[in-house]
Amino acid sequence: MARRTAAAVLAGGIALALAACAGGSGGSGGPGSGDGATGEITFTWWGNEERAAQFEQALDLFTEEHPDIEVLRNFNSWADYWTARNTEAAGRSLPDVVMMDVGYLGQYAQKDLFLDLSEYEGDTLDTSGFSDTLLGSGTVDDRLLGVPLGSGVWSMMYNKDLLDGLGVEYPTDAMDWDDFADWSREVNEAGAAVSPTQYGAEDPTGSLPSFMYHLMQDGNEVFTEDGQAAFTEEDVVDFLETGDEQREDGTYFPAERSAALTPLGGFGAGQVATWFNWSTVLTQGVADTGTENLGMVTPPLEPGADSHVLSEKASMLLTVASTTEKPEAAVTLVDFLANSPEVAAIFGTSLGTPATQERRDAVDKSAADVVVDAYLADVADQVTVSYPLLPVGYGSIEAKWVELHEQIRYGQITSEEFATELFAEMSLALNG
Amino acid sequence: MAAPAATTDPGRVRATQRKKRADTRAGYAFLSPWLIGFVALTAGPMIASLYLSFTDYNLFSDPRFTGLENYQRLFADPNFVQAAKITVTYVLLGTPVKLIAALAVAMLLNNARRGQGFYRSAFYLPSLIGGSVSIAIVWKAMFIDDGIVARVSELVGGGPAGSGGWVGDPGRTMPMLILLTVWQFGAPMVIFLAGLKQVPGELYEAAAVDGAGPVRRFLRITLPMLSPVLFFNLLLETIHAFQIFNSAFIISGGTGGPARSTLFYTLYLYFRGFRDFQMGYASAMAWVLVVVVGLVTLVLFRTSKAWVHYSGGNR
Repeated sequence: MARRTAAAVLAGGIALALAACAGGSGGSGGPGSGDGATGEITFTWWGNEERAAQFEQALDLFTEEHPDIEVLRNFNSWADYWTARNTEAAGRSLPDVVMMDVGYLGQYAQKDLFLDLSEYEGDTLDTSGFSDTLLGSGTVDDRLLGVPLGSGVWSMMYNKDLLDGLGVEYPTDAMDWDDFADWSREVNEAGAAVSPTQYGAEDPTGSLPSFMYHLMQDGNEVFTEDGQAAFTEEDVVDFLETGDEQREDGTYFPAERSAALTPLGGFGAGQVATWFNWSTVLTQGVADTGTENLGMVTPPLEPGADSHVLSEKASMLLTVASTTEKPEAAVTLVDFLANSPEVAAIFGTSLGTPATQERRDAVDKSAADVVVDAYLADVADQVTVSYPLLPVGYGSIEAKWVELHEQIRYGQITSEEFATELFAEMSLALNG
Repeated sequence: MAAPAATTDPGRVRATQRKKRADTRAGYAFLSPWLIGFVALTAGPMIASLYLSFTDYNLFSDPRFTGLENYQRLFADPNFVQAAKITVTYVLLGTPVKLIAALAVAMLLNNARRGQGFYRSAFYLPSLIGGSVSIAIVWKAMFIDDGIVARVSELVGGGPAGSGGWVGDPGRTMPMLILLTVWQFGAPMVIFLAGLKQVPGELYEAAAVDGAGPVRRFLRITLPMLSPVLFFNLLLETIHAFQIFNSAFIISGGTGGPARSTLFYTLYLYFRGFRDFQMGYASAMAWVLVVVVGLVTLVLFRTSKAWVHYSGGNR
């Protein structure tokens, strides 16, 4: 209770200070009043020093265009960020503009912590350059709560240098999972002669996003609207069993080596040819493997399918706290950060692939960016659904999946035990 | 305050009492920075966490009282059982081995010899560097896939160096971490060394005259004379071992892996609190740890009466 009281006092203090700063300028205007875009607002994000320097530059540009709005800034590392924001959320004292992750959006929306930005669309906020599916991932209950800065699509990356060295052909987007297993074995055979030995794939069932991708292929819902799992234990078991044969005959990269390479992983260490992850992490792949010679295709097809169901995942969302005293100024900042091509040029693709075409064009492209752009253009007609709204507690389920999956790879538990433990965790974590 | 025969004078008694009270007040005044710190930073949060351990609290919503639910959940949680199991194993194996190593080195360094100061500093260094973070990184580099240990073992007929190393083998992470803690024997060693200096040389001389060999001298003189120091080290290192976190966190890359083999108690507690934001559950875990460590300490104190000898007193 003491914490709540302290937070409330603090929040009150900030509100007073803000009100004092607003003195004489006519106070905060409602949506569309236009002249309310003045005063002092607070903005916070997660990231490192490098990102902070980029935001400094971007905010300098903003101040040039909007000299009447002063932006007080603050940032934390990823882990500290959520501890701090959660505490502020409990005391209803969030900063005016808050960077959000899709994993937390649902939880915050449930407590009504964010302003509905659709009221400002077409006026203070321009969303015309954003795709509907992408805006959909910032939308909860038909209210637009977050505007994405960047996006990514689930993908399969491959190391061209490694495959060239072994004389194996690149994987294609027409492969299904059986083809992929055969192809992996081909890589393994050639890679056995190299030291350390090289592999085609690290177990592709190892992350919750890969399971979600699998569910979406059949048009299945992943989470229900009230934040529960829309899948069953059998679904989980079936998915894990697609890898049983390959796990048994040693087709996948050994668990021991994955563990030893944590957090790099087999792909990052240049010992595995493929990597299943969001297209946004290709830059990281380049840094880890030390080669720009990486390719990107869609993950293999489900048996019998001839196209993919893909979705764009928003990598960073800008939201405005519902408690803000300066909604107009806050939305002005969101609009600027989300639309300005100059801002896109500052960040490049470090916040994900810029969400609008204008911003993509403004970026000075690295070799990795070219690969990602080509991939996104290639799959554009298969991006047909919005990324599922992630339930409260999603983060702990994702971590649980990784932890259990490692035990599967070491042969310590069965797929059934995996599913049972996952559901036990979900019944605790997903209660809202 | 020696005032013999003055007790009959009531005025002087009052004066003495007044002075005593003033002394007490001054004492508390000097203690106050520590007391304030203790109440605000230790006792307060502890009481708060005791309350939170009976609630469902995610930092985000108000704590919701759930009674004993968190404590009941603990014993049904496979990860809790695993964490408790490997932590106890670590304490039971790591602490004695570390103390034996510390005592052995202390005895070697106790003999007068050229460059003794240098050796003492050199052996103390590992426990000094960076609160074990940097050493954990070195350890990981040594025991990793294709690291020095894997290469040497390949040379002497072990498996291929590129197959995961000790870091990737759930069966070998425990020995690796025990080796790491043993390597950091510096602190108990210094205390042992100080204890050894206190043992009067005459005892050894007398024993030697009586024909006692080195083993007998160690068992009959060194160990009993050293037992208070040994007890102190045992207590401290046991409590310390229960709290292993840094090395496990770093070597597993912050995962508790491979296959939960380094998911020590405090690491799991941290995951529950700051990864999953299940603060109620994490608080319950913390209190179980406090109670267990308290009980272990109590048991050690009880047994100490049988084997710890305090010279110069009749305790």
